[in-house]
Amino acid sequence: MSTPHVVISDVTRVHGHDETRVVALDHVSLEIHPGELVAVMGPSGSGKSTLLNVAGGLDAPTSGTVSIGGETLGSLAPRDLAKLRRRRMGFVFQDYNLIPSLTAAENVALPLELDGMRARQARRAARHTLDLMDLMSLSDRYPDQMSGGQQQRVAIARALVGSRRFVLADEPTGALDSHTGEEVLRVLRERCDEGVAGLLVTHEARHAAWADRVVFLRDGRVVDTTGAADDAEDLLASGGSR
Amino acid sequence: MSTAAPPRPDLEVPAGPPNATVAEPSRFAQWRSSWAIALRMARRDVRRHKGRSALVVVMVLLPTLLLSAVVTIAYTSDVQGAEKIPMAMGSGQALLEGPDTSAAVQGPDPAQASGSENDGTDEGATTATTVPGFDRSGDPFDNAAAVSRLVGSDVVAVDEYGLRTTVGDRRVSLQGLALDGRPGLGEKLVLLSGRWPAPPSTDPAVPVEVLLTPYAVAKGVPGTGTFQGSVDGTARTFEVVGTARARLDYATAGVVTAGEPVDRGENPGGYGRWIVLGDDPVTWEDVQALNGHGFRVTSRAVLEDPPPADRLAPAIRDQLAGADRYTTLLVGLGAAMLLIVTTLLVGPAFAVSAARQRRTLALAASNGAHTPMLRRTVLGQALVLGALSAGAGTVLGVAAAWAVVAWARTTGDQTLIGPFDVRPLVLGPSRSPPWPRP
Amino acid sequence: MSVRLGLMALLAEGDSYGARLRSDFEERTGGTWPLNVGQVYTTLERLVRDGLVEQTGEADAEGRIAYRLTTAGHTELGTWWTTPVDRTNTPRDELTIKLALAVTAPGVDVHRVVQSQRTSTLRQLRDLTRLKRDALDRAEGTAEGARDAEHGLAWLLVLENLVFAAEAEVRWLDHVESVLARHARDRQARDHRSTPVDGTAADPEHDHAGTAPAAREGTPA
Repeated sequence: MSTPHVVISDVTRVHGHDETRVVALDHVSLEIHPGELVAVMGPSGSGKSTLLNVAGGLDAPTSGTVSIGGETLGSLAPRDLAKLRRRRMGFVFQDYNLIPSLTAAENVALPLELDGMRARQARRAARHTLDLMDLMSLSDRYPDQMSGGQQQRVAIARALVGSRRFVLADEPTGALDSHTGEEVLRVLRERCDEGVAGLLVTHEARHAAWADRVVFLRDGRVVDTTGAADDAEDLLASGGSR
Repeated sequence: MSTAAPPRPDLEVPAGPPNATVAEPSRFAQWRSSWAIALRMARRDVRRHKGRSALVVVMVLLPTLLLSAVVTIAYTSDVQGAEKIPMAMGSGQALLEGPDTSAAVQGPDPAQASGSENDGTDEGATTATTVPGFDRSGDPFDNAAAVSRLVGSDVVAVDEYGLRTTVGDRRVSLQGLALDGRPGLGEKLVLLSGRWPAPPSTDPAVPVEVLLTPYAVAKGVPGTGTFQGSVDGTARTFEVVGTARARLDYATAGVVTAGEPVDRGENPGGYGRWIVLGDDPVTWEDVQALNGHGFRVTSRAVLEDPPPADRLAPAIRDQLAGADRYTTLLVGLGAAMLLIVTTLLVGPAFAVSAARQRRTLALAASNGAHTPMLRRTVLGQALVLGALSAGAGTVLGVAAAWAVVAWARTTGDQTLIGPFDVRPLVLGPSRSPPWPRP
Repeated sequence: MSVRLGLMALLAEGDSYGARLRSDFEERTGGTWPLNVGQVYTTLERLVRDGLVEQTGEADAEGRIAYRLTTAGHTELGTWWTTPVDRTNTPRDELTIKLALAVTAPGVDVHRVVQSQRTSTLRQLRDLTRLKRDALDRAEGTAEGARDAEHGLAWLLVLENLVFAAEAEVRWLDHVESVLARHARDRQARDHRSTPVDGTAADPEHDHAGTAPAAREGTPA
């Protein structure tokens, strides 16, 4: 049994105060193990994005703690938090994930270069990651020379380059057609099967279905969690009868 | 509430490196590579958004262009030091002006700083030593022999006069140079065609031999034969014997004669100018000796190798320092004003491009760039654009100034007659454009 | 849709006999619609009776009789392909009936009914996605002839149908939940107004159903 890579423990996030007080997250706890993809679902305003931001250290919880790879985010100075972001995790947003003036390989190399790695060495590491994901042919293209789906896949590659082992994806398929979206999720799924921890925010059930677990949020509270897998064959029979 | 669930049982948990130690790169490595990224992105952005970049470039470039053009033109029109040698004395050793009645003091270039000895002190100005054989009522040509004896070298007298003539029914005024070019004066007076004129006769009936300059020919004065003209109201016949190129301080010469074309009447104090010929340089000591006779001396040797400031008279030192301060102040004021204008123009341009960079900055931040790294990203763009436009502005400004000077010379305007004078050190500081702090 | 038209569609691809028709049918539908041999033969007999299918000749050495589609059969099949499937029939779905009853039945926690159903459907959806993924991997991994690829495609489409159905169910459950929540808030507001103990709480602006979710939209991204 592995130790969880990401531990969100009893996190509450309150926006505003008094009259405008909104509880975006209400005592939410969540653990993500290496190799696990967890989807967060819920209607808009349910706190999905806040959960992702808190998990990635972009937002600080009002109470509770978040730790990644054994490091507790709340105790870190902004500089160290930035370092953690360079080395431990990567974000994939809905669209325009890549810096337009950098090629795919340079985009993937960005966190490594920001961390002080020589450009050539960082580029080599980036190509290695791209190769792993069958994206080698894109490495010298600029974002505007790639399709939306290709851009998202390169963004996933960047989220996992070097020592990064935690992907935070916020509606990564939101701007794509369903087929391309599925392709992107398949890539994400594959990465998680290789041992990466993933947190996927989506409002579509068919996309959440790629995850090992689905956490359902409503008004900042976890109202539903799907557990481990059933036997797929049984399910098919029951699904077919309906 | 814990919502943790075990991972898929069929998954062999790989040894993810949650606590693997990553080699700590030095702060310097991060500084270097984040600058490298910032400049790379800036260069690409400039290439990708040519229109937007061109706007910023133009906004920075215009004031820089203006400043560098003005500075170059100013220094070109301001002729001083060794630059004036060809104009003042040609291939001669010195130009003497005077003599004043009181002893003179001067700087290396009398045009920049000169005065009378003890002027404004309790004793009053020191009276100049008289020059033996000098006739204070004669013209410079009459006194050339006396000056020559004093200096110990051959001298030729120089004078200028105005000549009026008519070409067809048009009145033409020409600047006349009275200088005998036969001893050989280099750039000051060059014979282009024909022969050197003979000194004018004292008999008003004999035509005065003259050389025409290309300027006079352009004005329509006939290139051969004779023409009627008047100097100081006295009419004479002039006979053209050739053409020449002559250089005056602040005018374009039209005709050259070997002496005064007419008796110019009263010449108070025998005041005149003489060019010292020969091979012996006129040293600073010679200059000071001649100052004692009331002459102001523009010496080739002194201009080329000025004496140290502590050998100058205190009054002269003050004059020179004041002039320097004045120039610095003018250039400084101009630069400051242009800097302000540039900032006002460029500020918004950079603000726009920074706003467009917001997405990029957010992405960099989510990939672990902290505030100084983000600042570098914005500055990188400013740096690339700023350097580009300031460099181009300076080069274009100098080019523009050159064009202006060249054009001015063809029109015969005398203000820009000095050698083309680019001052890299003065232009240098104007090359750092301002950019807004993010 | 009927087994009848399914068999006709298979016969349109080429003459075939009963046992092979059955295995083809199951393969194409990914086993979601099991048939027994008796069902196949009864259907074939009826088709022969209606003149849509005919026997090609006598039984072969192993006693198998091949069938083929008649011209009338081709026409009938053509009409079927171009006629939309009628979905207007009232659903006799157990879940729909269960929830309709749960809303009115006293002492039933509708939210728990919705939640447990959604958990189950999401799980089903996830497992379908895994099957789909395996199918996709297989389709890419092996390129053993165009025929295989086409059959893999058929199987994928069947799976997609189930995915869409499950997805629709989850969305419907979401809808049910939010309608119930709004309804509950409206009723609470009405109760407040009918018992004016607290004047401020009765402010319609404050208790308007849409206000609370709208305020939560403001969660920063």
